[in-house]
Amino acid sequence: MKNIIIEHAKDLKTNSQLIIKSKTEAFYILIVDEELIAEKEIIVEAGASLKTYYLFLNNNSDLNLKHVVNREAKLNSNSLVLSDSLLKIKTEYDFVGADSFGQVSADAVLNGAANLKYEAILRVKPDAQQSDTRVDLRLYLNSSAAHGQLTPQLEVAANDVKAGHSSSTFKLSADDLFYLQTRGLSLNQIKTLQLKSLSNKFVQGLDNSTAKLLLDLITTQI
Amino acid sequence: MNNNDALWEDSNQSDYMNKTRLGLDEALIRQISTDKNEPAWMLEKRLASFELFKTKAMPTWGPDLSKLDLTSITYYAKAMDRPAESWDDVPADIKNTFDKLGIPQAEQELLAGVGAQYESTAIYHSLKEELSEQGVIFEDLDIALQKYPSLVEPYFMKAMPSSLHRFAALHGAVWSGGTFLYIPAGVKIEQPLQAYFRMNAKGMGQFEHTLIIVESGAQAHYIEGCSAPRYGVDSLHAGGVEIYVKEGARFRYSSVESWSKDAYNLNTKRAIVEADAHMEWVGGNFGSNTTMLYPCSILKGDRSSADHLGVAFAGAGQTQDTGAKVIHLGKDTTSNIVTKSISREGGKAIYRGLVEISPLATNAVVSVKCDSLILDDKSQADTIPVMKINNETATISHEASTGKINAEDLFYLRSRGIKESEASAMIVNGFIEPITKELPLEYSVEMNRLVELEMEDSIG
Amino acid sequence: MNILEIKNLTVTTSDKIILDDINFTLAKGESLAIMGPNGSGKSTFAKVLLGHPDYQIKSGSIVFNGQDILKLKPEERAAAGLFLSFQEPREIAGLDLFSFLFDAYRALQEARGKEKISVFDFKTILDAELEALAVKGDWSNRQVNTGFSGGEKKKAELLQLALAEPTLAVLDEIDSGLDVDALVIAGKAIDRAKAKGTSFLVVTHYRRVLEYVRPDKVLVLSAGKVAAFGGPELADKFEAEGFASVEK
Repeated sequence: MKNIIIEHAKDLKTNSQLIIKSKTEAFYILIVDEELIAEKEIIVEAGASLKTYYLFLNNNSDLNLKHVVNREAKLNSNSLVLSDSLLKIKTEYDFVGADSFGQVSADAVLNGAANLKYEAILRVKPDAQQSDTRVDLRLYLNSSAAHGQLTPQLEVAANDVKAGHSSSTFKLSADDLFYLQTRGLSLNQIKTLQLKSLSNKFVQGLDNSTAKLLLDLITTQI
Repeated sequence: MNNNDALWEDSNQSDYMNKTRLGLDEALIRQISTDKNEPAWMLEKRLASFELFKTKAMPTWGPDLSKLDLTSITYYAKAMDRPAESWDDVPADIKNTFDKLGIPQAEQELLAGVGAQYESTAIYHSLKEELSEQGVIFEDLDIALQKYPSLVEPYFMKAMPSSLHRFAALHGAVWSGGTFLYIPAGVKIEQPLQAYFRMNAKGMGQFEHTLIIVESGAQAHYIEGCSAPRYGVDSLHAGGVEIYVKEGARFRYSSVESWSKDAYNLNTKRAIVEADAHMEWVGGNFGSNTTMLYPCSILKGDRSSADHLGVAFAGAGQTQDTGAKVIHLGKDTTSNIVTKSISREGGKAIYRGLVEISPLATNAVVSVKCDSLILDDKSQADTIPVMKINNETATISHEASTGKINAEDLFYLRSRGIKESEASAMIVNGFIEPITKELPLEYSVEMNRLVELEMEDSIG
Repeated sequence: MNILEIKNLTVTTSDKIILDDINFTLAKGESLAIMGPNGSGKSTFAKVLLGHPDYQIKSGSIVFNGQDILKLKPEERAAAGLFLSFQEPREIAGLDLFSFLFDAYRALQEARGKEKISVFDFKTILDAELEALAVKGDWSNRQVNTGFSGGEKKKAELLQLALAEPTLAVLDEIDSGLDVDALVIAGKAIDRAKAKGTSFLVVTHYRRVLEYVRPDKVLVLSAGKVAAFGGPELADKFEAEGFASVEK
């Protein structure tokens, strides 16, 4: 049976811990829809599998999420950040056991006078031989007043591993915009389309009702 | 152990060490300035830097510097009264050491001129006639300060102010010797210009300053290669390199550094790049106990660009904390960073980078690629790239990957009869080839050889 | 009423004149082929019709269906009934193909005062068009033109042409990169659009597409200027003689 844990900002107690028991599967969805200053630790025990979905919606938050992934465990982590405010996110992913797997993906869309500081630290510890881990961050700056600072950090202490990260800015070129406009879309509609695509990507793997819950929340922000 | 190692261990104890003094105080700084006959403004700058040094704290980030005792270092020693004009003038015992190390005679076909620094005072210098005819100045900085003060003063420690950090302030107070390179407008020099220098005495600090001015439309390539023998006492190298690349000019600064295994290499290297100009940093960092080195390009002018290519090799007991910093200020600027690191025998290689796009820097394009090879299960590689993006028109992509030597590749070479350590060295050299191919032949050969030497110890 | 009236149109890019004093008229129901050697300004003209930001109108006018469109943004020109099929369709990773097609369809319907369609009804329309174009493989999970072969990209353009139901469809080198089978499919797509009342403006280097479009008029450009304008026999003439007689 799959566990689905949905947590909202107001329910999150700082320094709380979420443990995914050995050989079980779970989904953890965190909705940061109001100001939250907290730290949380998520532990994936040996052989367990966890998919996390972190949704940040336009508020001033300062959040530190630590993940520990043990031997033969799997972690898939999706984040979608929509921000027009001051936001600080630090996510840590420690892979401590052999044959562990991690795939972390984050898209951050900044509007207005948004200011984002996003640190994603991927640590592959000496015991995590044969692990396969990746962090990919993408930044979409949608206004001239928005600022972003991305630090995807990689600390690798085991050598028989696959470890990598990427971070990039995403921007539609003038030719891309022209193409989309000739199909009838205004610039605003193009921005909405972009957000729709990112949202669809964000909720992949979730059941329909949970996905709808998240998509509805996102739609209220547009 | 290689026979060459014995040569390196030999320290050339000459009489000059009697003229040195441990530790740092205002009196020493005044002595330095007096000895060198410096203009008053330089002494003022030194003293101001010293004041800053006293107030600045050690960095709170990066590798452990706690074993570095700044009071037990010799900050200044003078070997000769004035620089030699030709190789014949160089003192015998100094020549002896150079010979043993196989450092080639300076006057070779490929080399335009060599300034070699022995401890804190340059002793050997010569310029080929063509260079001086074109108005190129390639001189010891102490001397350039006397001969061309109007060229030095406007630039000295402007790209690298003492306020930057503790070691910049220290450098500003006790800098001694180094290179002054001035390329007049439109002059293009094909041959790479080189400088050798080395640390010799126990606990000797190296604070040479390199000041390079490339006027508009000019072009040149400058190479530094350094080495030092082993000592028990910490050796400190806190040099400074400032490069001014004017409009439309192109400049490459290459360095292959192989410090002794107890040295602290805390260098500051910065370039200011004007409109339509291009700056290239090509570096290889081997040896030292701890290196902190982040060449910085400030892309000030519109359409300016910079390439940073670097290799770092961290062996037993070594921490190579190196990287690149690029600050995009002008419009339509481009930067490209490619780094490769190798760590083994417990060594730790860290890439620390900063790419900053300022609010008015429209249409910046940045590409960063960092790859790390970890050769065994005792070693470590970290990648810490920071991207500060303050303009929404920037296109930035950063990619990093870490892993070990591909077992299939290794097996393939061994099945052809190649010893494992040699095969590993070949693979590592292939890994760093994108950077070594940018160096002149003798330097890429030296870099490959350094890799082989490092790899030889590991197996057998 | 004329569908298109081009009067004394001069266009620059970075202060360089790229189209010089273009004049011609296209009557309602007529189709036009634009031909000429490389660099003559054919593709540029197509882009200018839809308002590409790289080009500045130095003088002249473009009147489409009685409306001066020079002040209209590209999406407004699309709503007015113009469609441009790109010579090199843009690959835009990060945008869902289905969402894009749906949003664009809705945007055009809304601009034309039509009823809002549900996503399910749209999917039915889309599936029918995909089948007509003999599209193999599942396009529901793709991103805009990402990972598409040349032929697939052209099919995607024809798909969007069908969905847009334009008054005047501008095809920029639709036949380049298409094999024989794909060309037949393209021809049928053009026929279907014609049956719905779409006129065609075909920019072409080759002639194959003209088997399907059968232009009533041919415009020949050379170095940004009009070299010839006449009936379909002009196309035969230039196929036989090449463009040397008009090349500068």
